[in-house]
Amino acid sequence: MKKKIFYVVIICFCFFINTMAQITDNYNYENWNGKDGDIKTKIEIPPQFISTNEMSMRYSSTETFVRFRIALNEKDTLKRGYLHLKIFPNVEEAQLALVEYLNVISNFSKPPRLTTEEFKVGDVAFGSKFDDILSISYVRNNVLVIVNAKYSKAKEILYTTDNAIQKATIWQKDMPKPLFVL
Amino acid sequence: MDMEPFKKLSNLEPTGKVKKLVALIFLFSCCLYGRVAWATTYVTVQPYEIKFNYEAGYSNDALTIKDDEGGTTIVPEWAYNGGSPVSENFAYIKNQSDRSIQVRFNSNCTDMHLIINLTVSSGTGIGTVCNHFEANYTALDWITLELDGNLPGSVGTRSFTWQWSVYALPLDITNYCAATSTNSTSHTYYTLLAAPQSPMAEPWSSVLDYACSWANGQNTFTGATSAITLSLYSSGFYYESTRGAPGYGDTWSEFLLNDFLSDLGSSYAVNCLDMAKAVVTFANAFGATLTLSRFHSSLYVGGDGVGYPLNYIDPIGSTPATNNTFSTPSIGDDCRTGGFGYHAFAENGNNYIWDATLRYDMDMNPDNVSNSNPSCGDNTGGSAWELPCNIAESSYLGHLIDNWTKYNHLYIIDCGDPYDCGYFNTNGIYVE
Repeated sequence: MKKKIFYVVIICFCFFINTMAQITDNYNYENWNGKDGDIKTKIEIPPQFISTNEMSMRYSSTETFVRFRIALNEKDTLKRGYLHLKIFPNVEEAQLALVEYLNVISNFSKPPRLTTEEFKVGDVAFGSKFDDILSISYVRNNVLVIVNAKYSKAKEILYTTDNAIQKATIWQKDMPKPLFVL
Repeated sequence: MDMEPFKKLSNLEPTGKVKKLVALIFLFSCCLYGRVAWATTYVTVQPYEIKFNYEAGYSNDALTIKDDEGGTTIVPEWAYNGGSPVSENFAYIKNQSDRSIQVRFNSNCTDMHLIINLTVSSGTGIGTVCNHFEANYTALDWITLELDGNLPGSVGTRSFTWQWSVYALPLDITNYCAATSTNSTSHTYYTLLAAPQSPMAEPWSSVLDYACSWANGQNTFTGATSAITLSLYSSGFYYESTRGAPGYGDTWSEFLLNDFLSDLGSSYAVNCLDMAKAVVTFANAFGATLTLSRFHSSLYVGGDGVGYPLNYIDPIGSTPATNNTFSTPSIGDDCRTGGFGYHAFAENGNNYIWDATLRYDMDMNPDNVSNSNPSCGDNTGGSAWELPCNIAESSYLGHLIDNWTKYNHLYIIDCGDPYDCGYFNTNGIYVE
């Protein structure tokens, strides 16, 4: 009898450990800021900002998912850096998309959460620096922004995009779904 | 010879009767000439448009495919276009026979009977037509033609030219003469192994261009998928070795296929998720039934999750070979700390794996560390690379994971069976 109980306990313990291991990390999503934020639409990316930073918009960009290529340094003619802007119908979907993105890129280590003192961008931001490349993802309102660029350039990109989102129109129920103005 | 009548004629003055006679003869001649001129208007018949995929499904006709960027394919696939023909590619499953097409003809005549003969003048055709009789045909009406012939038995992109020989018998025989018109049309088609599967249930022609080229001549799923995997591994991308971030999708299931196709052949960063999505997408386009699988680490040290340790691997592209991914040195001893938090690959229903992200070391010392346990051991050289294609899941994990590594001088990761190092997840893929 004792043996049986022992086996049952062992099996339950293994099941618990296995279940816990399979829960994807949610990065303390429940406590993120901005959950009551406005839904933004008609977000305009300033053309001058695009040309100044020599960003190339991918032709496959859409009104809800805009993608730019950015040179990581002067020799990077292929422009291996990037800026992704995704707009969602509501704040919750945008924040959950950030949770999923953080899990997708956490192959080696979890990107640390950025405090507002480091980068005052977004309602919630995560990121890290490898060599001179800054990789940051943040959510402001219903928009997910992912930046992978040279440190000096990335800061400007982060502030400009965040500012563009904050200045954008607040979505109303009679409007079409939220989108970017390309 | 009596020349008198001629002399009389030559002496004749044009009287009113003669004038009338001349006028009658002239009118008769005009009518006769006119009649002859109309009767020598031969009927000409020219293929105007051809549909290869003209109905739902593929029991009789071609498969439904999409254009280069995933948009709706143009049907009819061939059009005369004012003498500058436009031709879209179409697709069939290997070894299909007696396919049907729809064609319509333009003509200088409205109504006619047709006898249609269709032969392949060059290339590998999809079939021929012999003496198809079409009664009471009206120009620009659609006709369904059943072809006689078999499709090739292997994956490929093939072109051919059809010679159309159409004998047209006009219903208006007073104004038209029956005639045979001869014209040529040229076409390109893909041959797949089976019905395409998600996320390429309606495959993009750009994907089929690559898939059918890389797997050209293959007639089995194993051979074709292995050819795809090998080509993707050599396609110019390199492994993103700082953190393993994806380049072509920000979620587990999103695959930015247009961007991937645009960058194919250039040196851009990818991770395992990108390449697994690519193998599934390209292989399922020709009918494979692969799914995207991920093997996540379930190892913990001091309460924190760590990656499972790897044997010596050769990541895609110019990224150096390593047994210590995302950490230093790139080739470490058994106290190394690098590893995979997760790894993605393509897997079929029988749990066989294709991986276009890395080659693993098949020699007698796959982790390139010797003399370890209890110490950290010594690095050794040597490798016998193998790209995992059609490898049983257990064998694959055994070659990928170094499942007896001493970790961080403090802990021993005891996943003696590689399956104990992690757990599986699968998900669908959506492309855009």
